Amino acid sequence: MSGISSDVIRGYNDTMILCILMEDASYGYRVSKEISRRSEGKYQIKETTLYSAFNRLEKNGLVESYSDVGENGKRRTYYRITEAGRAFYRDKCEEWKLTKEVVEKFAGIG
Amino acid sequence: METIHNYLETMFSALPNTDEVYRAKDELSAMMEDKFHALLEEGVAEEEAVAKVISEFGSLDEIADDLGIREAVVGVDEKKQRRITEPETAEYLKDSGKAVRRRACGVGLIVAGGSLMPLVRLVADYLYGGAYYPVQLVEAAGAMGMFLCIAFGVGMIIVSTSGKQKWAFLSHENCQLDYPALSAVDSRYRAEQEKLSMRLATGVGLCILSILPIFLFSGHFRGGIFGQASQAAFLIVGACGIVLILCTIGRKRAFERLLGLNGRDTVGGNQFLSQKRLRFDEPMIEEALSVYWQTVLCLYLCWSFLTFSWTRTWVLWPVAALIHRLLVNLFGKEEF
Repeated sequence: MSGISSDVIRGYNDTMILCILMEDASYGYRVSKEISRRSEGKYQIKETTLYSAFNRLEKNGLVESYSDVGENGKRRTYYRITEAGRAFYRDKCEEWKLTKEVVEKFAGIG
Repeated sequence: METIHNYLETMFSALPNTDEVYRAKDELSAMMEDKFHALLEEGVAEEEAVAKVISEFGSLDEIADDLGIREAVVGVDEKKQRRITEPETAEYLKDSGKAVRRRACGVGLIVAGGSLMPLVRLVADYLYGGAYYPVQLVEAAGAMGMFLCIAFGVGMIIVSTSGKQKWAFLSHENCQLDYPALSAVDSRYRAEQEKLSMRLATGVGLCILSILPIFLFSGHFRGGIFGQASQAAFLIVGACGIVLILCTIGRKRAFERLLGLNGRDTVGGNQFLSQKRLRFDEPMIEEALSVYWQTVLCLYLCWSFLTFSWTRTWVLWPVAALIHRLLVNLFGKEEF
């Protein structure tokens, strides 16, 4: 197998990002690093995909962005999850449980 | 890090310059930079880190809809953009420099050619020391020399246009300077700025200085050896001044043409101060100014050859320069 196809995982990028932001506000690279760490290097999100996701999440009011000076004194755009974002995340978790249940009945055999 | 920076700038250079595009560029740049430094800290070799960051960047296609640039991203592929690289810009500057020098020297020859008539008389007067000599023959020789100079000068101007074909695509095709090329042209232009100003000032200075002998040797020195010498000196010094001025203007134009290739409304069109450009609200004035100097040169030559009063016709140049400045100041706006 040659890694995860981006088509399959696309619908869950938002969930992954929101999951990380649930714990604490964060910025671009740290989120991307966290995704690859938690997936044990099996999934590496592309920069453009990540930016696109942030942008979409912000437009839909699921996250808020603000500028802040982080470690090593660099100014970065930070993202923090909103209440709507938390609700959306919970919905997505429910949806995934269902999806997983259904798909596993067919794809979990081989 | 520079390779990454260049990669990103080149990717974005054809996109419209909206706030959203700039924001995306800054964000992506920050992410790439963080990743690059983190990789270095992990002990990854620099080239490897650069390759990794670029290969994991993704594609603009992915953010096209977010930025409202779907059209621009699709357009980039469809319009068959031609990317101009740094070596190409260097070659263009070299070629255009050659053409500009030839044209300037051609004009210089035409102007300086007028000095042959008084010069020949001067030499003849000196050689024969007031004794009789066939004045008409000597004058005819001087005139011959003058027309030869003019013919040669016109020839040089014509030859100077021969290389134009090679670079015609710059105007006909949809050309874009990539980021390294753009920044190289910009820094070269800025490095030459001082030299160009000095040259222009020297040229103008020479033109003004050239009339000095005329005034110096007016009055009772008029005519005879002094008169001829001053006329000849005037034309030669003036021609040198004109050559310098034309060279400078041509060089500036070459730089400005390259820097102006990237569309005004794209990110690549306004990255550097030197990409600022004069804009006119009145299209009429812009049209008129584009042929301004050619018209002045034409007037100058017509007037000069019709009246043969070279001592007066030069006035056209400072007056024309003054009018040009006025028009630019009144109607022009400098902006990106």
